[in-house]
Amino acid sequence: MPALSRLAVRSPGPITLICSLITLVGCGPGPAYKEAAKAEKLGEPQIAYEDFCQAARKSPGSGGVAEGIKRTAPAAAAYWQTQAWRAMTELRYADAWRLLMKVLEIRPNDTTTATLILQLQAQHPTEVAEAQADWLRRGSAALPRSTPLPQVASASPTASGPAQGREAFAKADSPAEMRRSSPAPRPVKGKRPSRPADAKPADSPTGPPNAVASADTNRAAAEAPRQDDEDRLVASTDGGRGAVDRPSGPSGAVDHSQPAAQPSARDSKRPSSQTPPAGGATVASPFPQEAARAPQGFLSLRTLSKKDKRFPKEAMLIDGVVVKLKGTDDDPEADLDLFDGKKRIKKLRGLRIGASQTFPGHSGVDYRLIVLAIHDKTQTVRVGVQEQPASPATR
Amino acid sequence: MLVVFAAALLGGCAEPKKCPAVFYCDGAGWYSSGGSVAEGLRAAGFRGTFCTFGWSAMLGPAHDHFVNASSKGIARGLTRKIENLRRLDSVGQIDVMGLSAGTSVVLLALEQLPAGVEVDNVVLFSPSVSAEHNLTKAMQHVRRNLYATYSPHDAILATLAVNADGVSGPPAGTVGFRLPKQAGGGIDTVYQRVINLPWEPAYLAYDWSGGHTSVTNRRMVASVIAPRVLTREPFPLDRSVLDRVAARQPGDRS
Repeated sequence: MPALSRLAVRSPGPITLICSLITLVGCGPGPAYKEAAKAEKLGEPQIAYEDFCQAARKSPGSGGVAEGIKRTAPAAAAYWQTQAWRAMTELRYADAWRLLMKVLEIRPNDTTTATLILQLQAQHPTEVAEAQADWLRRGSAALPRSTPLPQVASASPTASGPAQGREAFAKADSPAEMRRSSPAPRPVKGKRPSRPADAKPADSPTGPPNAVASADTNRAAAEAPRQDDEDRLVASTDGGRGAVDRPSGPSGAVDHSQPAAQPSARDSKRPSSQTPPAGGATVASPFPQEAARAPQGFLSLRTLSKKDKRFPKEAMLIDGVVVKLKGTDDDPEADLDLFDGKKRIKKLRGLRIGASQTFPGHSGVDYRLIVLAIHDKTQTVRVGVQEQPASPATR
Repeated sequence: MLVVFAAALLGGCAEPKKCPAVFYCDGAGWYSSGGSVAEGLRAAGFRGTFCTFGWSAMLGPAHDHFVNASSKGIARGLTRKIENLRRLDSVGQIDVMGLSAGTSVVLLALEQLPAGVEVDNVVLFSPSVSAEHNLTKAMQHVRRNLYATYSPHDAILATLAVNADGVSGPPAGTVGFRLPKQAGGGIDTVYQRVINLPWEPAYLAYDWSGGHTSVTNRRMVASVIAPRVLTREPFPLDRSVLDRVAARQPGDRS
């Protein structure tokens, strides 16, 4: 008997061999799993996650699928969160609501996202009502898969405003679309036109947004590298303000009241050697003007970078407070310092996307700084500032 | 040693003296899920008392399922514990949770509570009671929501011949709770607070593969259940039974 148990431990028995064979050949999770693995290898976690989920429906007990979901979930959630921030800053509240719901679906314990969703529902009830009703009708089927919506909406803000963005969303969410075994942005099987030819998977930690959803795949493929380059920067560095938030003005100040004047991502010529605005922090708009010009919900938005020369390392944030970027890491987390004059008033370390901290302005008014996006490769961080009416509380 | 262990299982924990508190009923013949549920809740920030209510006869899962789970007398023990704690703290948070046949004990205990005595949330993991179990009476003693996890991949419930509550129909642990056919008045307000949590692929990230008992694992409880019960805010992902019914064809009450 002991000899038998030793044998069982040392060599794989026939049952083990049969199980292994079945796993390898017959009863695997299917093509969705292969697609997921491919997408993951290409650095598209949001697509990989969807495909792994698709595979899980067929094989919920597959360890490989479960591991794949665990591996890709954080990056997929970060991707959708970035898209949600973009939608919010573009005032597409219904889209933002849906995207945040997607984040929450992946990370149900993300209290910040849950709070944001409730805030959206409270502050913009009419805008999100339709999306909410859709959710109640269809549940998670109402949520975006790897849809091209945010790119569709932001790629041509002059032509496609929020309404058209919603249409795009609705289209992407149509039952036919939802039934597709592979996520939406795959116009050509096996090809990923949104990826530049020379891009390495590791170049896009949050995965490049899939900008091309047009039926004209040839044109899309031809334009894809430039589009992808734009979008990757937009999605990963400026937390969702998209092409409308190129540093055309001091500290990237934006006038969202005039969307027609904004260049599209496709049309905009991004100067590769653009330098940060002279003075960086000092040329930022004074607070009252900035508050009037910033998108709803944020008094101020800033993009800071240590490696991307288009953005300053430090900038006037609001009310006499300057924010200085110390660095980022690949978690991704950002380290920031806040200064009131020469005095450092806050040392913020290890802030993740969505994390927030309160700080006092020079006038004594309290504000909340929120990290909207982090791109570790270029050490770029996007932050927004909101009013903090209640007593200071650190989240 | 064995006697002490059995006594602990039969008697459950000491009676909690203050809120917040969670009462937990384990599954039939399954005496070990309470630990992971408690761990999950604590990992999510729960700092109250976790009390496992022992209801097993220690005669095996079949006896527990067919006899003890539908015993009003046994469930009354849990009723008394809830009542006593509520007497000590009329506003503090009390949640009641159960697994499999333990969910039948939870529902029976709630149904026997005197008028005006309420718990906050109820969580039923893989309930082996009927999907058409009328929750109206139990929900009169629930301030907030009743959550029920279910999975079509639950192999144990798939082979169940008789539900723990003795009511016919598929178990709620495989299809979720449904509006009962014999619906009385006020059913809308009741089932607006009954929320089914179906297995989703996303839950694989939290170690629930759709299995009967794996739903009570630490990560699942900490990440999916705790955010719903440890806050007083509505949870955005919740869709009640009524919401789901409204999504279907008119007249379909399933």
